[in-house]
Amino acid sequence: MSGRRFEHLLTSIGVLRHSCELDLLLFFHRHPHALLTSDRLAAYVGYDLNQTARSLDLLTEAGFLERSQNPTHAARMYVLQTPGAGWVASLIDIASTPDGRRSLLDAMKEASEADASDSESRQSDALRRARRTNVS
Amino acid sequence: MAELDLVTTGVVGLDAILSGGIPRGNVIVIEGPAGSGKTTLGLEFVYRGATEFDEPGLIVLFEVSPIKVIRDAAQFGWDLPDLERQGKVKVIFTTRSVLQQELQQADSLLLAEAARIGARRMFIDSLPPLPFDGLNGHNGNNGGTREMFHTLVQGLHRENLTAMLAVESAGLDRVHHPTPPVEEFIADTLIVVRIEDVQRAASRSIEIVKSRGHHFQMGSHSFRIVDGRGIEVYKRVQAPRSVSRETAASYDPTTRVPTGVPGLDELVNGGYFLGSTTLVVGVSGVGKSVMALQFIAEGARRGERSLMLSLDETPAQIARNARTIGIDFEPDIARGVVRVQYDSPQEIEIDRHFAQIEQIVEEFKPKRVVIDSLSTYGSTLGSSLRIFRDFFHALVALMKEHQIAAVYNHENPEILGMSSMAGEYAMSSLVDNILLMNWVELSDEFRLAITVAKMRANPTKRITRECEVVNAEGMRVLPRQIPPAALPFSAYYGLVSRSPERHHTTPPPVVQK
Repeated sequence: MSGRRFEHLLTSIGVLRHSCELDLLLFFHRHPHALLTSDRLAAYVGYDLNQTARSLDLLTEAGFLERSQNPTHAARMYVLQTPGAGWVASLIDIASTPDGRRSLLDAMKEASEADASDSESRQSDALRRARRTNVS
Repeated sequence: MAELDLVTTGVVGLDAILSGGIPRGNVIVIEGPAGSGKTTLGLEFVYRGATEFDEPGLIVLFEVSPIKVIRDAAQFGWDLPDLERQGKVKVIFTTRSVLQQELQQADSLLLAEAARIGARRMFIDSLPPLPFDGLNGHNGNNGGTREMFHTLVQGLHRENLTAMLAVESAGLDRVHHPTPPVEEFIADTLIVVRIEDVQRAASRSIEIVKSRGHHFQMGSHSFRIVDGRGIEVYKRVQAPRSVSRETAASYDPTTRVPTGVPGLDELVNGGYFLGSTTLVVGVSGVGKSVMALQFIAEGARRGERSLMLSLDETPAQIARNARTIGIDFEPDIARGVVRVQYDSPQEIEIDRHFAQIEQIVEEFKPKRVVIDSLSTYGSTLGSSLRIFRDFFHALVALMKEHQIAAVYNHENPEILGMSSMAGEYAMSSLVDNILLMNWVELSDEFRLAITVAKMRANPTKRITRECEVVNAEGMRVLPRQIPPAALPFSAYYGLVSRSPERHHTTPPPVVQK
């Protein structure tokens, strides 16, 4: 993979905030149409039910996943929406190996920390601006 | 009577034993141990439906990742992702309990997916051995299980889906339960696939145990999983074929098929009949194959399509042998008059082998066929004398149906004399003509003798004649009267026994009884 593409990939995975999201994407790559209960899905990916539910919400909102909405059914139909190519395909390709998955998880962690640091600096700036306003 | 709506599976050879297919809407259970080919059969059922019969299909998986199934299907050239893109196939991963719940709901998500692509076929892979408690695989009460399986079946019926359910069986051999398992009661069609040990090799078999609403060929048939193609089923050799084959036992008594061996036609009244079966019996090295090559060459010379089926020698070896007696098959093969077919006798699967012969005969349409040799089939099939006899019976019927003059070489193990024509194979009654070839030890040399021992509907004199194989020329039967330098056979008696003796110049004394 070219340096530029890898850089783009790292930027793109900023969308994913938790390892559960990556593992769900990998699971749905292997099972593009899955009819499962959330308990069973959580057990398959190996996270608790709440985290799995949060990650599923995120993937659905981001348009990676489509899921049926029918409260009378214990199970939901999950359909992966990602195209065969593009950064998600590259992501899945890399994450298919244990080393690749570890690298991606590290990259996600760094992206998350950078986000947090950006957020802190934004908060500091806001406080500074507020103080200046109050003084004046 | 209304015409039966049959679902053609599209699996090579399977529809033939199902008499065209499976009645639409039947719930089909495929039972077999791990690795027996259940998944491949189910996938092919859906794949052929989508690609050859415009019948989209749903594949429901419980344990195997769809990505692995897609990968495995690609080995057979089945592009499932492409069919998914076209909306002809959908592969859904779920659990058994979800499937059971779904099939009980009128607004089933699963069946909604099936309806979305207009599915007509469904494959569910796989259910554990039944009876069990629900679809979760725990042993439990049979009544409840039966009801639950029934619910599953009803759900499938509601959508008029022809569904195939793979059911795992515990062992390699099918267990005969005192009370048949639930699926056997409720399934409309029960197909059992097995892996059988055959002399340290393994072969696959398929049996239609039951199938409601139509006729099918019972018994255990063979099948193979062929890379790049899929499943190929071979009807068991004993199974009845077309009516014409059964009624084609008579042969044309007006047309003679010359043997190509100088002097031999005189012994067989001008040649063999079309549609007749000739057995040439003799110890190894007496010239049976030479005689066969001349029979094929004579056919080629007359422009008659001639086929040599060999288990003993490869086409290259046969061509070399032919050249030593002045026969060059290459131009005849090139112009499509001669065909040499070799099949290795190692691990021969008799059903598949016979299916190949059937196909060659139906496509090549030979007038003459030589099989070299029957004894190799005998040794290959080991102690299965019954299978050998069934195979030979089927072969004879096939050749008669196509009015082929067929010559079968058979190696008799006795070097001098013969105590039996066909040994333990007991096939003499099936053949029309028997030619015995054996060595006769005279003085310090072995000389070759030929005797026409049997000619059905074609009376001939049972005279033993000398013959010889000449380098670059082949075999010829010598005249009865040979030059006086050597004594003719007629000077001896007991030629076919191990100890020929000369006639006395004076007649033997008459024994008073």
